[in-house]
Amino acid sequence: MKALIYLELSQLINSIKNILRSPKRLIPTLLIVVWVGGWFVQGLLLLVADSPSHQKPDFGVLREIPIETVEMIVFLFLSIGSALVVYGAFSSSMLIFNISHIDFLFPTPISRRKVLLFKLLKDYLKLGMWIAFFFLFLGSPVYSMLRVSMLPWGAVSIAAITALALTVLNLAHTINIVFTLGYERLRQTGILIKAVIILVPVSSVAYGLYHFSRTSNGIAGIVSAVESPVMNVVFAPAKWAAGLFLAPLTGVTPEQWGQFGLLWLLAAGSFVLLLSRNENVYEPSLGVSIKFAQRRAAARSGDFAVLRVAAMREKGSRRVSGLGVPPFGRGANAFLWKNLITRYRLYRTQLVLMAILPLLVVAIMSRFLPADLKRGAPFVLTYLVWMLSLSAQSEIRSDLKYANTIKPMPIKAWKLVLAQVISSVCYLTGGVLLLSGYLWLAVPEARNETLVVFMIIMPSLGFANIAAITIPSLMYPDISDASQNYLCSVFSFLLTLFPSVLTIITLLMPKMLSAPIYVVVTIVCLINILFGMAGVVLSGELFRKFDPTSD
Amino acid sequence: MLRVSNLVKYYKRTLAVDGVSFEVANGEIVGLLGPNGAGKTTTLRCITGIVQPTDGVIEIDGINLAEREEEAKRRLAFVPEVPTPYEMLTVLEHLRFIAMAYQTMTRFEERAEALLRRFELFDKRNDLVLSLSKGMKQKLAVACAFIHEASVILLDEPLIGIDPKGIRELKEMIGTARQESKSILISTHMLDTAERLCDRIIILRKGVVIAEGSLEELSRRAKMGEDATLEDVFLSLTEESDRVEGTDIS
Repeated sequence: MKALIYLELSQLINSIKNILRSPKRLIPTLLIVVWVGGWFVQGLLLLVADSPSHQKPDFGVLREIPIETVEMIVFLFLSIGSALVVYGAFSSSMLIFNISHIDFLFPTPISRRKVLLFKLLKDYLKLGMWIAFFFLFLGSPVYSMLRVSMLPWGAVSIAAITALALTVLNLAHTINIVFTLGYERLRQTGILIKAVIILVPVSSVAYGLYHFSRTSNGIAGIVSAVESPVMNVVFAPAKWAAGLFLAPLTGVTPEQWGQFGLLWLLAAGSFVLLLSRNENVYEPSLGVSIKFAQRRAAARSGDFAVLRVAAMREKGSRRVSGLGVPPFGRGANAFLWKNLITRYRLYRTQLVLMAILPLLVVAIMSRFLPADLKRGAPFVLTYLVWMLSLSAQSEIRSDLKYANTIKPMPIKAWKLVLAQVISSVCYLTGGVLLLSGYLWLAVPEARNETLVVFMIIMPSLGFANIAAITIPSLMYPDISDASQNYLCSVFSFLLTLFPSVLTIITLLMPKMLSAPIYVVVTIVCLINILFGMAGVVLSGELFRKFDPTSD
Repeated sequence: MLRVSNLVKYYKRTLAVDGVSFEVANGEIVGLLGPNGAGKTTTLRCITGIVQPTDGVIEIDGINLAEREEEAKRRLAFVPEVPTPYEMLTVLEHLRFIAMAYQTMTRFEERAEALLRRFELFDKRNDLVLSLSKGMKQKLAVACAFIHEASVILLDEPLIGIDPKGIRELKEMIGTARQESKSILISTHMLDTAERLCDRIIILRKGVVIAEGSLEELSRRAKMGEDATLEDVFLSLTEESDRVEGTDIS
């Protein structure tokens, strides 16, 4: 244990020293500390200021709060969350160690139980702090508005939710250890437990449907499903924790004190059960720890392409899904082909989400926006083009790591940049067409000339924007440097503002000057293409001088 | 001495190691060779206690790893393939942590200094590990393996990433360890190094030991002449194993 304490303390002290020594690390850290600290102090001040001794609770508002409904929603959330965590434990561990532990701590003679105990204490401390953080930051302003103090019952709420979370996690860890190492021996038992976990919500839904069929009341059906006897028995701890969730409003009854005690008894019991296992706790955590380390490295690099690759690797993607682009061209055209095929290599869920999410936005727009605004919906396409252009920047900067391979190719620099820009424009055009199609289908008010005009103009605007953002991408290529990222973003914003504003203003011109729309569209497209070509030539010159070995 | 008897390891339903048995005697250097996916890393992970064998017995100096794990591990040192030392520790703190974990703090400063000087890390002793190059991290991992008096040393691709001087130092240290009657098991793809360093070679393929012995014994088995290199023998034996498997299937 001494060695583990030494390890943690030394790392903590060195991390603090490391931050203090470098202004580049110190300034962002201070900003974050001030921001979080500000929230924290504000939360505490609210707690003190709104204590009952100062003001009486707003009983009028309090009476309006549907406490039972809130408790039911919390119960549903907690029970579904618990079931998912426990179900997931059969296939994946949630004990994530860092790779240094695997390499240097696991082979040491420090007992596994001590390592596990240390790890759990650390993880659970963090979890408790997150739950307290959640209650303090979200709860205290709400309770303040109601003129109800979070003290002392808020602490009971935090403790109850923490106890439930600990119980569920301990159970999940135990299941994972037992079933990973006893895979063959306990296969039938595992299937049985998983079936029970699935059957509980299924039976509750059936129960709710039965009530619905008898009463024809949808809300009553949902309430019956959530409050079904099976749910109440299997997820009793979640029910108790949900009952204590609003303790600052409802107080704590003697019966709830008993439930609170039981929750902590369960947390302690499951903790002892987990620590009493003799199986090798290291083995189940190996796969998930390595995956997590890869994900963290990708996130640290700030490189979206790396994140995409890490996500695909995690999903076990091996083959190309979706449509293929047949090879074409030579030189810069071949480079364009390579970019076209690599960019859409996402895993299937991502592709589906990318197709569904815009539809969802359009559906919401169609349902809630007033008719006037819906007629102007095509203007959203400008925003979409602007956003997609800025997001293309991360891909461009990330591709610079291949500059060593690309620069020696016998292709002119501006042509390489053009191929890079065109590949991004192709994807952007796809996005514009998809959203336009959805608007055409789902928003009848938007089926007008403006939509057609925007559909024609947007690819050229995208070309101008992406060519423009390539310039700062080459001037500030280091993704891991916060200051370069900042400068790159500021320049990109300014450079993309010009063609975007120009496009919007020019599009408003026909109404003012009574000019034919097709003339205006042609002029706007030409201006955008010229602007884009200027960007490509300038970027080509920068790429020619770009030193791939420097930071 | 390291003794592995009938080691079997399943990852769920995937058989990674199938009845592997071998011994590494005191003062012996044994090379564990095999193509990718042969089960070398799994075997080493079982010996270090990182994964739990499905079946079989592992003994370190006669101590059963499954029964007296902490005692057995105290006699074991391990250098991982691509080591990731704790980045937020200094080089010296890293060594100190390992020494504390193995409870061998006697004359720590003196031993640490000697090791760090040997691997040219002494000037960097107070630097954070995150500032070290890949090769230096590898050297630190080797230094960590030698900071405690282990009687069995496991090295997984120990020479990758180390500069020529570091390689020479490591080879000398391995030689010294052999003279001190330590058992050394080296898993590697570098066949020329294995040929020069190892007394005996174990060739694994698909979780099974397909050949074991000195280079001469393996050459005889592969029906090759005395001038055959380990590379020739290795390729011949693994290809033969592929052919046999193909015949079995057909």
